[in-house]
Amino acid sequence: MVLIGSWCLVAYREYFRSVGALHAVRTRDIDFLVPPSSVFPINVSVPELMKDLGFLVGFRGEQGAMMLEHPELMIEFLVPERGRGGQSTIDLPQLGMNAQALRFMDIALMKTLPLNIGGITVIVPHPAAFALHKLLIVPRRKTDEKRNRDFETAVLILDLVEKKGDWMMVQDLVMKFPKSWTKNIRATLQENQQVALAEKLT
Amino acid sequence: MAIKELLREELENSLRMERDYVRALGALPRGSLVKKLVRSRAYYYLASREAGRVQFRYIGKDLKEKEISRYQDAKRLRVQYRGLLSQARHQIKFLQKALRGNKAI
Repeated sequence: MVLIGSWCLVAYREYFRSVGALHAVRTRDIDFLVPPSSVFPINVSVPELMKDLGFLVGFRGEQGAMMLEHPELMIEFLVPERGRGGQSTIDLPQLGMNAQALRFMDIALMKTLPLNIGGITVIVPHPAAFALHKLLIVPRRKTDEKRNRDFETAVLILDLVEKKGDWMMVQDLVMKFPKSWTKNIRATLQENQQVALAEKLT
Repeated sequence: MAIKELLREELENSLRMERDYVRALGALPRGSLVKKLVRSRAYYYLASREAGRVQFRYIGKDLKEKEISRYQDAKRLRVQYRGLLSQARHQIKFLQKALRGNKAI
């Protein structure tokens, strides 16, 4: 399972410490990406396990994506959306939960890193994958604030990736993308006056 | 402005949690299990507060372990949920205050 979303920034802050500062504004939402066709060694009911810690099961959206809620943390599981989509939740019977299916989440699985958050090792997307994913979803964000926040975070992370000498990772990932994804990412960068960065993504 | 939007989202989350914990508390079996020993036999009562007074309702003797656990679990969860509900309400108060502020965040 891969930790995704704003909590990755907490891990990246330490990862990039030697090359620059990274703000890590995060919400209480903590998202885990479950790779497709994951098979776990045992079946567990995650809601039952978490009930002992005071978590309640909540449901979001029309198809009822499950969420484990606690005043300090809200846990959600996600899976990459497959095919033409249409099914917004997928059952995870081995975990006793369902997961929300979202587009472009495969990017987070293309290259991952084990990093430390609070003494716990978690698997996160490589920052290059995280930033490229953000750039892909910017046009799909519903509010200006979310669009701007995602864009600024993506550009900042790409800058730090370059300073860390990891730019090859960005290029490797972009080469594996469908052409439409690369085209959309470059268009987003150009529309937001990051023309030089758009040209670097070849 | 971006922070304010985050705070609004967090407020919605805390309000939803408040509703969920209130609902969860309402769904728990009412009362605390009280065991009384009379001539070495155990008799079980459910103690609950009604109209400001503690009422004891006899529920049986020699209750099964499963039934006893159910009431003990409910008592534990009730304490836990009340604490978490209080936490959620403090968060709501804090977030509402932060969002009412005149300064841009």
